[in-house]
Amino acid sequence: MTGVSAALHTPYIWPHVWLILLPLLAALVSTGLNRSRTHFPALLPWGQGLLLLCWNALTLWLWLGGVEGGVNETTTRITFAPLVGPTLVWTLLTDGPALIMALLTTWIGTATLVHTGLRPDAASRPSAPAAFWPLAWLLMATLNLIWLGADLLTLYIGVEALGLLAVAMIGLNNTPGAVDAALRYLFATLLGSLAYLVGAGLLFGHYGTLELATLAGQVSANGATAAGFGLMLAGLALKAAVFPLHGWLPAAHASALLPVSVLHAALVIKASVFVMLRHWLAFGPAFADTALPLLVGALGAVAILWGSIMALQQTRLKLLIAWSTIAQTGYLLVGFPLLLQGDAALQQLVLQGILYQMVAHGLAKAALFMTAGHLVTATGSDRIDQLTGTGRHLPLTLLTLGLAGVSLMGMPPSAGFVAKWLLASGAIGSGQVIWLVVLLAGGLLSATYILRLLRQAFREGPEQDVFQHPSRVEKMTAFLLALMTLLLGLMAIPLLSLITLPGGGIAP
Amino acid sequence: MSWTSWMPVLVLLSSLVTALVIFCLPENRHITRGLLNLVGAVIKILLVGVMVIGVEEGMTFEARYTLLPGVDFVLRADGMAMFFAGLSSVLWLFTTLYAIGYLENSPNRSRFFGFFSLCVTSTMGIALAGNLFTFLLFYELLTLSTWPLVVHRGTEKALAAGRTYLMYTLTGGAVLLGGVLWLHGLVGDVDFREGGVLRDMPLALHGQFSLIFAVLIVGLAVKAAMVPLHGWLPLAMVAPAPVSALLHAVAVVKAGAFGIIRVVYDLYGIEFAASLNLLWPLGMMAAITILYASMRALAQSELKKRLAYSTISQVSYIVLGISLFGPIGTIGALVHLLHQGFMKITLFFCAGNYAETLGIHDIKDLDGAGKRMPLTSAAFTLGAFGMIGAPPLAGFISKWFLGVGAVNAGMTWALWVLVASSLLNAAYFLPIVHRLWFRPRRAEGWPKEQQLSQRFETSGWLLWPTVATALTIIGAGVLAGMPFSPLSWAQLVAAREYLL
Amino acid sequence: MMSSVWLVAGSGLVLIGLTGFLLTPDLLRRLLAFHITGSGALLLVLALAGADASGDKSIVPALLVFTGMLVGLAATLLALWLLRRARQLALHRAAHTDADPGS
Repeated sequence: MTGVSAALHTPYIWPHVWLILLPLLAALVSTGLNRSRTHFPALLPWGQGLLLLCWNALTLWLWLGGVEGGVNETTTRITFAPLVGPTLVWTLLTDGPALIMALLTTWIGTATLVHTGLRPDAASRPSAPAAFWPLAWLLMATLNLIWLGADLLTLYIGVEALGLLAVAMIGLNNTPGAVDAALRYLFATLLGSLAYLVGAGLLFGHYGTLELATLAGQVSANGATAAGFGLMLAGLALKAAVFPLHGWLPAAHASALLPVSVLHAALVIKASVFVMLRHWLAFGPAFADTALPLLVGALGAVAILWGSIMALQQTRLKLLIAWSTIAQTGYLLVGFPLLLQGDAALQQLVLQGILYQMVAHGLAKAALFMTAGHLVTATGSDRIDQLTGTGRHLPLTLLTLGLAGVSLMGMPPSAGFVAKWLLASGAIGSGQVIWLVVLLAGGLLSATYILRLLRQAFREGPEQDVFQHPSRVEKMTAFLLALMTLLLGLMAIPLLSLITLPGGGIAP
Repeated sequence: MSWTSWMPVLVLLSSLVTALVIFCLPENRHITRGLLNLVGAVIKILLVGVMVIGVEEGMTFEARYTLLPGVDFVLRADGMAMFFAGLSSVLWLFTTLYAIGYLENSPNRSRFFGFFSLCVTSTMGIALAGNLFTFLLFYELLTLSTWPLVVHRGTEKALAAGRTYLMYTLTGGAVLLGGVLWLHGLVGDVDFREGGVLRDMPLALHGQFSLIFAVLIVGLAVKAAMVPLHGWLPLAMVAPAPVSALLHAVAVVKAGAFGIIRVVYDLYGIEFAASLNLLWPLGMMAAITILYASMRALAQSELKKRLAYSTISQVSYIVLGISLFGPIGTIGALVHLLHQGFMKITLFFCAGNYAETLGIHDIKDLDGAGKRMPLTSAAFTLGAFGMIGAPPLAGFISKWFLGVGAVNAGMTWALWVLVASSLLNAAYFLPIVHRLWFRPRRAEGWPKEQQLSQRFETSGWLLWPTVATALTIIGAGVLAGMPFSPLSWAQLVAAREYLL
Repeated sequence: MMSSVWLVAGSGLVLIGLTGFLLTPDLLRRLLAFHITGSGALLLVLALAGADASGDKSIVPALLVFTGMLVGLAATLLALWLLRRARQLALHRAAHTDADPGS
């Protein structure tokens, strides 16, 4: 008999699986809603609103339930027993990092979908093509699959599907530039996945398993492991636009539709880095004494420097933000070598820092891209020098820009500051002062390009308000995201307490 | 939470809530905005007043909250905190009144007053910060909330000044953050405590403590505008007069000076800092700043620029006082923190009045302004004589204690620095006073005269705050012996620092 | 041994594919070059993962390769869709420019 049976290892098995199932279902429903768009225009916003509500309730419940019960880690095993052939066990792991990323996905996903249009007139004045909705939901499902993935095959399927979805979404924009950028991105992501696949095959050949937890227990520093680990890291780095493999990113971000840029910069890039992090925690300790940690950290440092310099030279708003993403990804990598230093408490601090940086950057970057969209609408141009006078007539938009910018600079009080503090504490605790200098200098560099925008906006322009204002819903969603970076800077414990390393540290 | 832990929180909220509400107000609700500002300022003064009395009686007001694993956000009202909080809350009221008049009929007032209140919130946070982390938080918030004020006019000059301001202060903030992180890595989360806390730490760490001290002081010296990190201050003069007044007298430079006070007294402890040989380099830095900036002030022809260099020099009096080991020097430093605030804010208000009413920016245009604007000119004269240190004004008290402190500490060179700088003060202030009262009015008339009031020399909003702060200069000097005067409060704090 | 044949063949295909991929600017040719690379990579996976240390016949390598093939198919469809869109947009623009020479 062919059957799928789910082994109940914890009382909460289904909620975790629903993290993936619910968005999948929503994608299906969205397709239906799109079909009914012409006949029942009100159905689309209401239906989407209901789906978003369910999704938020689910993640919130998991978060609060997890903290109260002290259950920070749940393993879900799903057994496939086909009629012929061996039985397969598929494992999903919901630990602190996964839960944090699922929360971030919910927040940013909700904000993006609301921003894209839950207005009653959304059907008559669509701000995105109909295909956007199902694709966006599929993207969320894939992201959650990646956060929960506990073996190399699941992660491979996740990053691969994510890459294809992201390419399709970038290609939604009807400009030759966007289609061209999507194609370039497609080749980058495909090459990255191939490298990952070969690496996974190599590791399976050597260890006979694809489960990360099992691999982490057996791993030793030999040639095959080095080659496999290296191939996977390189492949993922290409997908995450890690310096010097970042060439595809600026064009892709700058030419995509606004909500697509938001999702891509805030979540899709993070997914590749997150998978890198999972692998780093499993295989990294075996390579702690090699030049690898230094190399990864150095790439991060160069990314911060180069990304910031390039951001400073852009004349177009969205390009500036895209380059800033490259720089900010560098911060995450700077944390990688620190994960392998010091005692368990210190490593936990650094892991918290890396994840908090993902959250901080995700929220701030989403707010920033939305604000950029508003400013482009308002001034009718993507040029930074057209921002003159916006400070006076679009105060809320500029406040959003300022708050998000503060978090990107890592200035208190903001989530970005908390992340910087944690990473820097890790650097100091393990005596690696060089990374501290990189982090502090990086903050100053990001200040230079953020302030360039603010300065232009503070320049006094026309006396009369000549700008086309975005809708109130759009302004408020962007503002709330920026406000979250502020609040998470003042209340860091609820999220940080989710992250404890198993056994207090990384396996030696 | 008991009411004592709510007090410091409420003090912050009184201006934070004001700021948030003002941000949301439509641009044309001028009266509501003015009222909100005043109500907020008065509530703050009352709250601070209650805490001052409480602290005098030995009560502690403390609010604590764990922000990060191993890092607490602490607000605590001790004697030192109340010193700075008192200054800020009183001067906020005066400056708000002044700013309402000064910005009449100008655009972007919601933005201005919003950030103004936020700036005061940061200053109060700096005053009440109970550990270095909390101090850093508000120190950076201050940087962020003052930038929109500096660039408020949106002109090229203002934007360029704002850029320089941020380059200096953000870099200073990053250096300070580095120092705070370093110290945190060594000793964890330590609260400020009277008499200092680091002395009790293991001897092996003392070498690093000296280095951290240098890092922290460099980070703080940027805001305190100590030479050679002072470049931003004269440029920041392009801001509207109330902003300059606030930056110079209360918020930014004082935040730096107050930070140095906290680090020396309540983190290291004055005796420990002296035993590590950290005080004399600090004193030398201050002495150089005092003399260099006074000389530069002499060369300025623009009134606000001259006042700016005078600020640079005067703030370092505080630092000089800190570096004098001994309670008398401490009293001098603390009392100057307040006195300089009152004197400098008066001088800037006057400069604003001259600029608004008569269009005067250059010193040479001030000839004969005493007859046209007698009250403003009288206030200016009081401020100038106070700065020079003429008895019985506030500045005399500061200089007296600094001088005696220098002799007691055996640092006679510091006394000579004080004498030389007083001569320089006289050299750059007396010619202005002379022009005001004894020179005939220039033949070509005032550069740009405006009739702002029928009855008075200028608008009442501009005039009365100026007169009021000028009176405090006399009051702080003449009534120095009274309880709750700046001097007696400084004596109380110094007694607690030296555990006498 | 069989696996070394796969290994050599796979590496060869990957090399050829990558060379083509890097040398040609034409997007359709790049797609073809990617396919050669992909086939090589799948061969490599079979060769590397097949040599399981324990000697057991596992279906995991087959699963990996199967997934890789599915992905390749999806990617090809996506690339063709994008290429067609690019061509359409280019044609559209050309038509626009012809009809409106002033712009």
